[in-house]
Amino acid sequence: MFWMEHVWILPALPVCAFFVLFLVGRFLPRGGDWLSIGAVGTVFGLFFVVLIEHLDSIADGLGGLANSGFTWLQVGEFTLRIGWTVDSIAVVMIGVIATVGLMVVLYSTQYMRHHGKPEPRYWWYFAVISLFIGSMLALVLADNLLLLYVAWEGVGVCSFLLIGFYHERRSAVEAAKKAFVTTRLGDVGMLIGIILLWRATGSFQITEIIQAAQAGRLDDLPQVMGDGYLTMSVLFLFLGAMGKSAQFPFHVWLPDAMEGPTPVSALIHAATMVVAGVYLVARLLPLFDVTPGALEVVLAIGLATALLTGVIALAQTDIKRVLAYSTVSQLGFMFVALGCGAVGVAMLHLMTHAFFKATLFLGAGSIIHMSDEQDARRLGGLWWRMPVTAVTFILSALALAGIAPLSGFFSKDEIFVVVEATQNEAILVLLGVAAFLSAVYMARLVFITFFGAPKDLEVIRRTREAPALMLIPLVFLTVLTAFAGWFAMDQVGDWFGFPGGINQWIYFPEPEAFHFNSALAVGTGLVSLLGISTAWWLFYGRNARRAQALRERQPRLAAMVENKFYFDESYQWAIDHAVLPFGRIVARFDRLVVNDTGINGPANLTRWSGEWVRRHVTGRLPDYALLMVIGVAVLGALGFLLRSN
Amino acid sequence: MPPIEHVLVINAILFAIGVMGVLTRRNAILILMSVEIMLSAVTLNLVAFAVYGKVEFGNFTGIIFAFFLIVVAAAEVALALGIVVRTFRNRATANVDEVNLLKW
Amino acid sequence: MDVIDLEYALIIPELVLASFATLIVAGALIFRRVPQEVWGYLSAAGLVVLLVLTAVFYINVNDDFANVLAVDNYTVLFRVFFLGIAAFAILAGVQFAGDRLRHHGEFYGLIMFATLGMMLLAASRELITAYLSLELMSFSLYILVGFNKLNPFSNEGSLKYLLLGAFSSALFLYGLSILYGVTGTTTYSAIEPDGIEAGRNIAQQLGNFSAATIDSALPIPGDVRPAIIVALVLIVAGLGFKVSAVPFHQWTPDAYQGAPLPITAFLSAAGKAAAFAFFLRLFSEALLPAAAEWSWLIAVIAALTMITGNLVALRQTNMKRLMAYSSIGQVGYLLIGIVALDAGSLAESQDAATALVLHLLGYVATNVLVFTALIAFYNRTGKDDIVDLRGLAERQPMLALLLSIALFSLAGMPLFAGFATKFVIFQVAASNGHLWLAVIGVTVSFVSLYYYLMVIKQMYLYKPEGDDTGRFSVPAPMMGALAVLTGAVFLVGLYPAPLFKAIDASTAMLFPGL
Repeated sequence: MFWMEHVWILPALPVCAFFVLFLVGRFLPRGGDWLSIGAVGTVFGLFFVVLIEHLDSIADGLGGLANSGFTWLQVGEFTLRIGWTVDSIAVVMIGVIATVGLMVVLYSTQYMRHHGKPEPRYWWYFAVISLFIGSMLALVLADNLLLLYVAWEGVGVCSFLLIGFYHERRSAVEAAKKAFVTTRLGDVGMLIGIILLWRATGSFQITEIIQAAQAGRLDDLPQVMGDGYLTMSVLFLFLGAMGKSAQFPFHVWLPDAMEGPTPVSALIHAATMVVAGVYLVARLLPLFDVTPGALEVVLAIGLATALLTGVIALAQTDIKRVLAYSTVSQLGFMFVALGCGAVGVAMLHLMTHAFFKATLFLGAGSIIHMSDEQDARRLGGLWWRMPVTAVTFILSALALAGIAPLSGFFSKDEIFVVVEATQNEAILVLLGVAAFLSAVYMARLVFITFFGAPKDLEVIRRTREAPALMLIPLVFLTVLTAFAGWFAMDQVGDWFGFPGGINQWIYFPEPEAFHFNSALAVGTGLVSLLGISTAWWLFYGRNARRAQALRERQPRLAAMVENKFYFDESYQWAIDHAVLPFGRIVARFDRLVVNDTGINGPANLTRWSGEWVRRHVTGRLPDYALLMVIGVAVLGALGFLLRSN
Repeated sequence: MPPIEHVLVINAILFAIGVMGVLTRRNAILILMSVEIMLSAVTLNLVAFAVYGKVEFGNFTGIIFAFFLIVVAAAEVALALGIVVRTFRNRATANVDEVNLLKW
Repeated sequence: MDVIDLEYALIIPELVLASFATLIVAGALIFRRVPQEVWGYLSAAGLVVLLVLTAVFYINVNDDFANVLAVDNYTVLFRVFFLGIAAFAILAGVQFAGDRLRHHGEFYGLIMFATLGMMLLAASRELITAYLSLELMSFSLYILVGFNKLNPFSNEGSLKYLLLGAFSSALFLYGLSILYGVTGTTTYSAIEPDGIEAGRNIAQQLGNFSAATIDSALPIPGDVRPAIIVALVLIVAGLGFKVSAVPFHQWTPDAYQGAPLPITAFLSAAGKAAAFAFFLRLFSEALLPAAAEWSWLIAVIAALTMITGNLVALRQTNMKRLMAYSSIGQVGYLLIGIVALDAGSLAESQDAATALVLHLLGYVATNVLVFTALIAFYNRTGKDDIVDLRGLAERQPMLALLLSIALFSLAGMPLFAGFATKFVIFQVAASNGHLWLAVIGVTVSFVSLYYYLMVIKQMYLYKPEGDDTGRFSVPAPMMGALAVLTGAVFLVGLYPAPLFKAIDASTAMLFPGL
């Protein structure tokens, strides 16, 4: 099992590419993009090797698990390890990261050019993307929380750098900052959670923590916080997941992150980084399982997010923003699945979503690149100008809406299956509404963008189909989108070597077989069709009048939705009207006490005392000697005080 | 022989005189002399312990130490005088108060 | 009296070094026609050869010479270390000396004599030898600091260093004399732990005290604790001077600023390392049984040193002086290691010793890196104020980069050696029961980032000023040396485990019976 044991090579390759590009990238021909492609391509190839080894290992009855590493530092009893684990979850993630990563990198070679000439800092783009892919791989392979956290921060930094790539644009810089700060809040929570778990178990190793939790060793720690210690630590951890995966109320950064180049949105903000939160919960699900209340929270947050952002997506006019809110909504679906305890289902949806969302984003990028336009209201009638893009986009949109036999249908359906198993009709209905919404907004987007009469003739004239290097990734991903779902079925899975379909393969203490509940499948199919019809009725071509009429009749409702429920505004309002006057009081308190005394205070105090001490170094020798003697005298006196019995 | 405390006290006084000398003298050479006084006090201390403790200790280590100390002290003075002379040649003073270009 | 067995083979390195140094001095005097650089390179080459031979032949020898010097892994580690630093200092100093100093033969010879003193100091297992080695090292350093004869700063630094050094030596000796009086011996500890040749030794005597406060077999009747306290305070005062601990540190900035740059590097690196080697051996072999009497003392000094060093560094304008105060701050962390020797078990004490040596080596390597970079800069520009570094990133980007890496390491940023070594020391201190010191250490570390960043800021965010603003090149050997050191900093930062094990093997020698 060579590659499974040396799987660290997979993240190492792109990271090395980063270092080379960082040092000499600007001097290489074509900015060194071939280096990046080479590294990611190799990872892609190695993924298959690892996959085969993994399957062989399962077939041999070894369970497909591998864990290796080395001790980084050992001081007495305290040990820090760097290690990596390969199991089914990791393999799925590697597959997703490698596939989408390679497609995006290839796509970027065309996208990051303007009329054939590469954009400024072209080489830096590929450097950071390589680093990102390496960090993301490290994240999913890490076997201890500390290493995971380091990789977590790493992807956050890469995301920040890439969102702010066009740093001449103020909006981009602001968006990058917002992303960083918002995820930071989550990260702080996560770090607290990690430390709490460490103090309770003495280890950062994931397997050990899970074992300790299952053995009930974490439930009673009276000296710290008593009951609820476990719940608190796990919820703190979940905060990190919420931040990274843009779940309510942390969802505000993702739409703004669309300021970055579109391939970045495809890779980071659709397929990989934002699913890090899902991955974290999936990996730690045994821990969440034994924590009272944790799964309920996950489910609730996921459901709320799915609904809320689904509604907001309805009113967005920028192509990428629709997709962004859609991503958040779909992540909510994944968390709902996790909240029901179904790791396999969540991972399946993660995979299918990665494929079709990436296709959608790349397709959007294709449109933006060729037409220089992002606002859907200015587009329309593109399907005969950009047929390939249109077909791939529509197919992926259908997948997202949950139309059989595309992959999205299977994964969404599975989520409904597990939700139904909870016997809670309310959740089922709400989830159904969310699914309905996803169909509506995707159809709306397709209708407005590709069909109907073009709104702006100038735009149409200059738009034509995207170059081949951008289309190939699109097509490849679309193929995956179409057929990946079939892997979920037992028979197909068996034929490919996954015993019992993908759910059974994604190893979990109780492997679940793929359930096909015909009633639910039909139900969800109907919901999707209903959604698409609604969109057609409201938005297609001349029907758009109806949407307009609706908006006029309910101006306030429309305004609310269009303005994303004023979340950003309310956060800003809260900052303006609560934090800042509390901060004008705190600003005065801040200026006088906190700033002058508290912050400048220690700084000034430090400076003054440094100055005071410095001035005492008079340069005069007798003074030096005097100080020494005083020192001796004082220490001697202290000695007698402290140590005489 | 007088009790050892008497000897130790005298040595301590001698040492203190030396310390005072270092602290109050301005001339580098006088400071050196004070340091010498301190070293002499130490030497006497060592000898005292060695002599008074000969029975219990079973060794003369203190006296051996004292011998080495005398030699080292002499070497130190030679070295120091060289540096003081060099300072005097550069700055026309041996007054340590005035030699304070380096400060803060 | 037993015949003391003199195995001269054990101290061949020291003998060779002494002869070599003498030869260099004599040679430079006699063969005046030979260009000065030759003596420098010759000395450095000799040191390197000696270093290699020492490493090869003396690992795991673990024997002692005349009950006076211990030639064990601890000694060998430091021998190799001091020889390496001396070679570095000489190489760095060759170009520097060529332009600015006279009497080069003595310059190199004195560096080697100082090294000799340091090697003997690390090997001493007995107070008289230790004192003699200490003075050998110190005298050489006094002269070296003042080597720039015509420079008033150099003079002044040397004078202050000398006078205060003599003063502190006297204090130290007084403490030693009292220690002798109370224990009746100057040997640190038994040669064989099971007492085959268990003569009277300090550790044994102090151990007796812990059991009962009165030992009737002494010339000092009654409770000896006050005497021990006085002795300890004075000893720590003297040692504190040598390692630049507060409040005995005030000579440090003046000496560092006044001395020629290669000597500043040598002094801050090897001088400190030697003093700590002595400190560690003395306190873990001889004084450990009396740990309760001195751990509070060193803890107070450690706290004072960390705080003062870093506070005053904030206000500095001269690079050498800044590095002096930065060193003082670092000494505080090292002293935490000494405090941590006071632990529940010998194994924990050994962990503390290992942590201390690890941080010492890391800090010294990084310091040498900084000073070598500064020397390269000074050779070209003749300036050593912080503002003179402005725009270095444009003029010599590699130099600026390496210097920044070194400063980040000193500040304790992850990925670099400074983080790993500081982490280990703080962790050991915390687990040995001195958590508050670790807390102060971490806090002060944050503060220190400010002044390190201040330097980096000058290099990267400002344009070069003055008349001399063009690019300049650094001679290849110097660049090579810088690269090697930076590599070491990264290596220790990313993968400290093997170095840690090696050091563990050497500090195990300090705790026989473990």
